[in-house]
Amino acid sequence: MTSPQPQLVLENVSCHFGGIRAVNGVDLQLDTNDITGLVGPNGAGKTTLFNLITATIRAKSGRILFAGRNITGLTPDAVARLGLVRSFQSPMTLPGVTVREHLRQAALFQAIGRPSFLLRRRRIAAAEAQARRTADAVLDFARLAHVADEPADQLAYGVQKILGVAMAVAAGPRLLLADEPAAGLNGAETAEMERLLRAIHEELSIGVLVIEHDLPMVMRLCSHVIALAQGTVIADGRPHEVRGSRAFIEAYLGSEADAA
Amino acid sequence: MFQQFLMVAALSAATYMLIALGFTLIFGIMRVVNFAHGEFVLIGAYGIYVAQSLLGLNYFVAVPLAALAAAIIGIAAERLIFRRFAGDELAGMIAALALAITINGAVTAIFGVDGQPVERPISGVIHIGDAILPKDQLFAAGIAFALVLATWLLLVKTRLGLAMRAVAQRPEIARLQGITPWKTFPIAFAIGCGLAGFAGALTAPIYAITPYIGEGALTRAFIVVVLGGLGSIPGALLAAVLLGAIDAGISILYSATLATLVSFVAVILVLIARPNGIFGRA
Amino acid sequence: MQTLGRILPWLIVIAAIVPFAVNGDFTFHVAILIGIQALLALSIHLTLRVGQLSLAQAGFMGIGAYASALFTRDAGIPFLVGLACAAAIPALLAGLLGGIILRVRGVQFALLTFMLGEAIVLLFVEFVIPFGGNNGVMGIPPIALFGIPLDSRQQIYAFVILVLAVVYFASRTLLRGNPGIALRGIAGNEALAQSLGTDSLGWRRVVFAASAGIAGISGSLYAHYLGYISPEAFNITTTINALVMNVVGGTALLVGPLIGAILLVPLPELFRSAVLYQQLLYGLSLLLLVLFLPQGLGSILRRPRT
Repeated sequence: MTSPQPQLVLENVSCHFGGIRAVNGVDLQLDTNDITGLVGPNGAGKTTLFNLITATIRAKSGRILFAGRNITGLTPDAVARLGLVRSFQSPMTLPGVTVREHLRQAALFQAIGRPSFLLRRRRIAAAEAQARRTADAVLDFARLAHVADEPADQLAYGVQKILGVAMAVAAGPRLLLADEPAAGLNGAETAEMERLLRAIHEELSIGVLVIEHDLPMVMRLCSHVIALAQGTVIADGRPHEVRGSRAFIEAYLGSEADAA
Repeated sequence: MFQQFLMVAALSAATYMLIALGFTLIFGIMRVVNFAHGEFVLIGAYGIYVAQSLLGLNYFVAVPLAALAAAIIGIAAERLIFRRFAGDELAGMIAALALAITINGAVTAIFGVDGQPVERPISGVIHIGDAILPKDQLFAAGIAFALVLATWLLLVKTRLGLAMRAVAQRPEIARLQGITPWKTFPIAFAIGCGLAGFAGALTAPIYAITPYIGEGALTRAFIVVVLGGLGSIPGALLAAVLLGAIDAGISILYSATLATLVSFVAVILVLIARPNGIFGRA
Repeated sequence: MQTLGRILPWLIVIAAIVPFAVNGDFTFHVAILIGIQALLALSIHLTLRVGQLSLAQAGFMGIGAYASALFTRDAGIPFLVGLACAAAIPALLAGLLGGIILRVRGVQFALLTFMLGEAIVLLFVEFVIPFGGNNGVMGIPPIALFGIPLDSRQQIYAFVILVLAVVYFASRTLLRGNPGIALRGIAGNEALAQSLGTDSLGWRRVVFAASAGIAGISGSLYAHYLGYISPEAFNITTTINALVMNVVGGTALLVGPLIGAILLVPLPELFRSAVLYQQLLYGLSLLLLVLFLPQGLGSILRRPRT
């Protein structure tokens, strides 16, 4: 798995809330060549880990590196500008803004996100033209052209979630992090989300990291799976390796037995 | 000199505690920023003036009456005004500002803009070592600390206090338990404004009373609450002690306004490390 | 709403011309004060646009006023340079402090800025040298353009309107352009905007600094128009008045604070006879306004969705 592609590396990352260690000494590496799935039973620390990578919360100890660069302690927007862009578990929209405009702004935020752009007016014109083209391209790519001029906050739940992923794509990431993209979607919408994520990886060569509860989807979609339980990595490798690992089976069977 | 410092610090801290505790209580339970809180201190102070100088009552009777007046006006304010803004912080803030202007305007209209003299009810001093401790300041500080303790016990040991804390921390669950906010809100306001009234009544003989003391009291409440963390009672109490000490130290050596400025700088410095105050949560 | 947004600016233009038609000294006096307060109200409006309420604006106005007054009176620098300093110094202070205090939101930010405003006034009161303590600063030179003083109220009014127009149109251009997109993203859904690369803290700092600069300009005009200033002109009451202008005029449009200023500034001047009851009546009117405002006050703050 060595490659010149940007890698996301976590070294001994820990974080706790109150007395509970939500993430406990996690070491992992993933490649933007892969679609990586992050799985684990409820409370395993997946969301916490996700939030640590996207800098939504701060790690108590350990380091996070992306493309060789230490990103621990940066702000969420700085991480996004370095190419790590996330989508959210719940649909996130700007009130009163059309779908097309959401995508255009998503593309534009990379250029105008920092106030210092005010000092670099000339480059912005090029960025603006590019943002329009990107919006159109992503509209087609994500199959959202039919709702392009609708206000996004009035669309169906599933469409809004697709838009969320599409916005992340419009921002031009090197690694796209999707937080439970299929949560709350019906069968058809889940299939569409799966198609989109696969296309993002295969046609746009963007790395993908998904948290998901839908295990069959993860096994179909991902080339690299990391399993968490109780804040530590219990399995890490190709999907069939993880699925067959004893630690993984115990963690999942254990939680199913508790639920039964 | 040191005992002098302790005395002034204790009185400062006690006053801070009274005002900040009332303010934080109201905010914690109703999420209302009572910008009129300083004016309830004013009501307490002028209440003493009215009770003593105009009605001829004994000071020790006047103090609880003045605080009661503040509490009653507080309940009225809650019922008539703040109840509508319970969830909306900014709207509540503006309503409170309007109330503050109204109360201040009423006091100014009735009593005029000049200060009023208030008789010192307790004269004499106590000598401890080589420190001279005025009895009235000791009395004020003592009563203030007693009130803080009483409020603390109320919150921690009584069912009412438990209900209020439940509403503050988990309003949905409190509602399921049958604790309606509509019952706890007036009580929170009554206690909060009552404490403010006590602060005004206790310090009236010691400092001059003018219509402007409300603004200063409000600033003190804010400094304590921001330093300690919004909504945190232990934070407010700790911050009150810290700021009382700074106040005493700088006032004795330099001036009161410099003390406020230094307090402000101290708060900014703390916020660099802990943006939400010492015990605050985001 | 669209048509209203298009008509209102023209109404403002007409209102701006009215004093020339009526043409009395008192009219121009009130009109100048409206212009100065409108700038302060505009400065609060900008902070509301990013979902924060700054209560320090009168303090920044004071810094601008004292800076401009002292530099021109004691150091002999020309008025226009003084005006520039009046904008720059509060902006720098706000930018610096903003890095710390903008990390908090809502109530806490309002409280902090309240304290900041109070602290600034205390500075003016405490340090008699150079601020003159409670007596303030007197003998401030009049507004002068390139060495020529403006000696009639009409000329001063024209200059104030000019400054207001420049600030208004500059703000409008920025808000309609790309900075506006970033700011609306921050106000509309901050987490989303940040996840896509928008530096929320950085932008809010810029807005806070700009609003402080505008307040400073307002202060400079105030100082050089009246010829004297004292600390109480810059206390929390002035900020609250500016906030009320925003509430009354409406916070959705940039002309809102201007409308609020036109409606509110003349009132105390008209009811000067009832000084003793002025504050009480003002407070009661404000309470009634707050209780019966048609949309409620939920519209006043563009709250970021988290």
